[in-house]
Amino acid sequence: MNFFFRKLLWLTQRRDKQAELRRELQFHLEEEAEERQERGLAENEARWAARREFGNVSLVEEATRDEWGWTRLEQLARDALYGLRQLRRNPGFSAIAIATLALGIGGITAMFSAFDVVLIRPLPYADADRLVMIWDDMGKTDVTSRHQPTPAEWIEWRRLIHRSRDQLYG
Amino acid sequence: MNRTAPSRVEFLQGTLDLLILRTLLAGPTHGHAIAKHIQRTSEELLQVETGSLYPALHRLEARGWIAASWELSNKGKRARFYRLTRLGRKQLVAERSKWEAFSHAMALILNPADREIQ
Repeated sequence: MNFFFRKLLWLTQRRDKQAELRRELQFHLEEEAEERQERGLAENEARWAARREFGNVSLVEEATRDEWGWTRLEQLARDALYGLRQLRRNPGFSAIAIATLALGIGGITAMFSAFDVVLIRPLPYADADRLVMIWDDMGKTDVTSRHQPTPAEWIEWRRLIHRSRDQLYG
Repeated sequence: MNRTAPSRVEFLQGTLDLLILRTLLAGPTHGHAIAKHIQRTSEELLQVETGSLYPALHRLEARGWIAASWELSNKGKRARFYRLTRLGRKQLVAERSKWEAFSHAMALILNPADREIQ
């Protein structure tokens, strides 16, 4: 079991580990007091001396607990929660901020999507630069007189196109 | 060589971990005994603060270098015993040679100065 999984496991056992740590430190204090008693101190005095030498129990507990978890990650989570609370406290400002961000991100995304398809991404077939559009021209000058060919016309043109290819691309 | 014996030596960064691993090489034991052993063996020069001992023990446990279990102490009380794991043994060897190289280098630099003074 590696570092990551052990810490994950400890995260689920947090309450048990807390009690366990307390017992562990309690044992240290008792052991220290007993040792002093053996050296001739009265029981009460020995207990106090052990406590004095130990220092601040809850500080030791806290420093040890820090080794169990992801201190940095937990701080990040706390900061995020704090941010959320601030947003909820000031809904008007939050709404404007969120709307601004949403519009900004949406606008940029739409623009880039179009930009990407039109200018960056190549057309999904070979020789895209040789693409031509063919139409039937009823009048001579008017653009609106152009019509799309019918399938029959298209087939006929395709037969002819082999001959006129050089003219078309020339 | 004229040396003034300091009453207490500060722990260098990372040395406590090495001392804990070395202490556990003798067999599993609890935090209090580890602290006392380091203190006694160093002729009271090293004082292990609980505020660094227990975080170090739990850090080493998280790394998998030592493993903990509740056992009965020699006075018959339940205590959290730590023992060296296979990984911890490897780590001890690595840390130890690193430390020896470091202290050798320090000695090389410090000792010629002593000779010059004499």
